[in-house]
Order: sequence, then structure tokens, then C-alpha cells
Amino acid sequence: MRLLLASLVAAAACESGPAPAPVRLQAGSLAGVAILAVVPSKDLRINARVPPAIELAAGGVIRLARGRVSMDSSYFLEPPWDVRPPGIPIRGALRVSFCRADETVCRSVMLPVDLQE
Amino acid sequence: MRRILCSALAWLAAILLPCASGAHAQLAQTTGTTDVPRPAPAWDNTSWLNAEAPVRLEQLRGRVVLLNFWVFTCGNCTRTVPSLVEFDSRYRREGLTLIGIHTPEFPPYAGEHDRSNVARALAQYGITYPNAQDNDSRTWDRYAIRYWPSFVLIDRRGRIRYEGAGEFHLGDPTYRTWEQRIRTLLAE
Repeated sequence: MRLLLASLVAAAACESGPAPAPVRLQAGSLAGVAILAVVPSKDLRINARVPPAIELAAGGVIRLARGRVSMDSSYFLEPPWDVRPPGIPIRGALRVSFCRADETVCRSVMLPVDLQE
Repeated sequence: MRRILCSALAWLAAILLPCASGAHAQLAQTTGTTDVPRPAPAWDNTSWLNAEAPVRLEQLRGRVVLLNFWVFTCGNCTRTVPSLVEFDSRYRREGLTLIGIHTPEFPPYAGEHDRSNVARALAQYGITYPNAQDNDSRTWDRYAIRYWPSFVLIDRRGRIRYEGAGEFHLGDPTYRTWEQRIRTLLAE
């Protein structure tokens, strides 16, 4: 009986699963040029003073620092982006500093990325 | 029936509590009192700015110490600096020592580890109190810090009395809370 009850409660309490990633890396094109951009989830601001970076497993870092920023240069007003280097697999970790709109702190996240050419 | 109900409540608590304390828990503003004052961990950072020699916790016995964990690339941190400068100006002579613990958020390629960049930020924001470069996050880890900016208030006996995180501004309620805490510890 206890076990059954616990299982039911557990299912109800945790059914929402893990929290979604606060940002995602997106490949696209701008005026015919391949780009990479970091798209934040709703109500989240990306720190523009330390722009997002892709730390490539093969070595090297891609900084995604282009995009309009707020008056005090604290946050990106649009998804930060940069040109996608040709011929390089985008595999490694995306590091982003961000702030939730309703918070007064900075926090950072690292996410694995693996984009096919 | 009562036994079943009690069992259900116990299971509910056991299951719900871990779910609520996940890594993505929301944080708006935290300021807290430690239930039981505990000894502040010593730090051993070797690179200091605004100090002729490394500042050690044991040298500060008899003074109230406010640690500010920050990084110059954090807007929440730099917007709080005017309040900290004000605390330093107002209470240093009464026994308060403010110390910045500059802990980078990104690896060295971002420039947060560079001493010259930290020095430039100190000048830009008018910070004259000592700042340690915590480039390996050792002090951050010892104090179990999670957010920029964070604050730890240590009493004259070297014990942690108050902890908190989050931006605040001159005269706002959080500023007044911290100021009252500083005054309380200075009066002990």
C-alpha cells in the first residue's frame, strides 16, 4: 500500500521532468551567410559583457558576440550570433552567462552541442 | 486510517522536497540569517588589488567583514557596487572591512582572469577596498557560492552571520537590510 501510494505521489510530483535548457544553439543563414546564434528561452536575458562561447572539442573557441545590446551593454537585445566557420564540426560545449528577467543575479550554463555540417 | 494518512504525508514530504530543490530552482533575491553562526573559512588567494599584501581572515579578527563575490562582466554585480562603496565609506572607520572576491565566470579566454582588466574595473567603479583574484574559484567553492553577486557578512569573532545573493541599490529595502545587519554586528 505504501509503495503504491509513494509511486502515485512521485508520478504526480515529478511529471514535469527536467527543466528545459535556458538557451539553445541554432544554425541559420543571414544574407546567404551561414551563422550560429544563441536563442534564449522566454524571460531570459543573455549577458553581453561576456558573450556566449562554443568551446570546440577539437580545440578553439567560437565567440558569439554580434547583436544589439542594451544601453548599459549588459544584455543582448537579440540572439547573439556570429558567422559559422566553414568546414569545422560544431561539436563541444556552449557556455552562456544569463539572467532571468525576474532575478537579480547572474548565472551560467554549459550545454553540449553537436551540429552537423 | 490515521496510520495510513500519516504514512501518506511522510511519503509526500520525502518525495516532494527533493523535487523542489532542483538546480533550476528560481531565485529572485535572497538574504538570510545563518541559523547557527559558523566559522568563516579562511581564504588563501595570492593576487590582490588595493592591498599591499594578501589580506588574511585571521588578520581581521575584531572587525566586521563583508565579502562580495563578483565579476566585472556581471551587470548585477557592477550595479551593486555603488552601495558597497557607500558601506565602505560610511563604516570602515567604525570597524567594517569590505573585501571583493573577484571570481571569473568564464575560462581565461574571456579576459576575466586578467589582473589588468580587474584593475581597470576597480578604477571605473571607484572601488578602493581590497579585492582578491579568485581565478581558480577556490574561495567561491569554500563558501559554497552559486550566484553573482553574493554576499557573506562575518562578525568580529570570525563567524558567518548573514549570507545572501542579488543586486541591490542605494537606499532600497535590500540595501537597508544589509546596512542594518552591518550596524548590528558593529555594535556587538
